Amino acid sequence: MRKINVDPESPTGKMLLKMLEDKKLINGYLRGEVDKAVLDANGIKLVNPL
Amino acid sequence: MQMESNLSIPYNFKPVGPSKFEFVTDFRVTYSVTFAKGDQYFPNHVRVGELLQTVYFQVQNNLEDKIPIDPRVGATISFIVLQYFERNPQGALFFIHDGSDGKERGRKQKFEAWFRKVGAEHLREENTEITLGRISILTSILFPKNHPLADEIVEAFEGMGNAAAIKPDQEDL
Repeated sequence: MRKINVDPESPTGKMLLKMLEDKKLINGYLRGEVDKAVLDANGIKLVNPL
Repeated sequence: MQMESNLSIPYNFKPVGPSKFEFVTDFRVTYSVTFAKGDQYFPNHVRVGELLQTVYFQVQNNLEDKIPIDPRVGATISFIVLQYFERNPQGALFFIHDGSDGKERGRKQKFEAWFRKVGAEHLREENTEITLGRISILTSILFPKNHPLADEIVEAFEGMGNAAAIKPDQEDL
C-alpha cells in the first residue's frame, strides 16, 4: 500500500479534511440525522448510478 | 439457522430515496448505501473526476450492542459494487475507509476479503494510506482493468496527496 504524509495546513490537507467532513455528513444523512439540505449547502452531490 | 449455501447470497437491497438504498439483514440490522460525486477531490483531473463516484455504507440502526458477524453483508456490498460496474463500465468507485473509531484497517481488510470471494478479477484496486497529522485515512479506488483512462485514474489517485506530500513512505510526521 502506498503511504504518504500530508500537512493538514496545506491546500491538499484542507481538501482531505473536507473529504472527511463530507463523509461524516453523508453518514449522518444515511442515519437520518442530517438533512439533504445540509449536504447541498456543503457542495455534496448525491447520485444514483444504479 | 442459515444454511451454509445461503451465506453468499446477497440481501435484497432497495431504493429508499433518489440516491439512497437500504438492505436489512436476518439480524434486523439496516445498512444504508449512497453514492456521491467525487470530482471535488480530484480537481486536477477533470476527466477522472467526472466519471468517479464515492460510495458510502452506513449501519443505520442496530438493535444489539454488537453487530453480529454476517457473511451476507459482505456478499451484498460486493454485489452492489459489481452492479455499479455492470451499469457503469466506464465508472470508477472511490472508498474512504472510516477511521473515526480506529477500525479502518479492519474494515479495509474485510472489504478486500469480500472482493477476493466474489472473484472480481476484472477490477483493479489501488490503495493509499494518508497520514494527516494525527489522522490516518485509508482510501481505495476500484475501476475496470481495461478502463481506457486507467493510467489517468491511477495518476489522479496517486496525486491526491502529492501536492503537499512530505516524507513519503514514513509512518509518522
